[in-house]
Amino acid sequence: MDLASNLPLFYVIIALLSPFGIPLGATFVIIAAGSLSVTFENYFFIVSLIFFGLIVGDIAAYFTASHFEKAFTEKLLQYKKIENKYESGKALFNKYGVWGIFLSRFVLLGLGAPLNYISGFTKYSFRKFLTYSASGELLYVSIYAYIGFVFKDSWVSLFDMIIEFPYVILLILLAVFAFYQLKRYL
Amino acid sequence: MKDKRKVIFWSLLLIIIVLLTILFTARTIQNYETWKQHKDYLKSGNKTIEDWMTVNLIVNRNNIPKELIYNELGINSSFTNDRKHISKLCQENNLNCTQIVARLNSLEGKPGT
Repeated sequence: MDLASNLPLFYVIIALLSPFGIPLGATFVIIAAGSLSVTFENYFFIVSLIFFGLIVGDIAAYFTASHFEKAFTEKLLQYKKIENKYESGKALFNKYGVWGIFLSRFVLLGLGAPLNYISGFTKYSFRKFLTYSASGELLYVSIYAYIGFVFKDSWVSLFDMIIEFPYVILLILLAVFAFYQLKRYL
Repeated sequence: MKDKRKVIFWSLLLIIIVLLTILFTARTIQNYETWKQHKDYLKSGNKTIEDWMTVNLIVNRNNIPKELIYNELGINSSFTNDRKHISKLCQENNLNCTQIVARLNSLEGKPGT
């Protein structure tokens, strides 16, 4: 069966699989889906469909990792050196994880899947995970599909810029942070 | 002593981050310029096909059937291929892009197109 001829099913499958880290070019497909929308009703239908797929995919990735948590930690904690680091890493993730989960959905593209797995492995609060990943995914689908909806056929020329621009913002924020840290010690 | 180490660490980190920021900003500006050029070209009404155009764009702009374009390219139509630049399709399939673009331009206006 040619999946591309059944576009809604194609979108749902891509959305379901991409939270597992399978490189299917989800962002490319979402913008393309937006560019195919003729009316706002079309646009909202596509956004809802992909959003549903992504959320189900995120939950599935979380529970898959959660299922293997015991085996994962047992293997990892065999090494004494890692034990302390694992605990401090877990504490750090519990403290700042929400921001990581939220931003990895629509700004730091590519980090979503690893964070789904980390959330599952560390048994991170499912309620928090779902709230922040759903908020991030909603922004992700709405923004990227809207870019396609607005720019239609010419969005392909914008694609590299769309992907790299959030990293410029992140680097600027990191530079400001590093500058203030440096100033503290001068 | 400890502070001196921290100063060196944060200075180096800041330099690396600033360099990366410059690199990414330059790329983003370059990408923006390219997109602007393409946008201006599309607005100009010039119907000549160029290698940065996608199959979908050529179909909609030049009224050449998709099958004919893929026939010239010698590849199969797909959701992603429809949305890739001709130059990228040529690169992926080891095709001579100049010849392909010339052939696509000659297709326009022919009977059946």
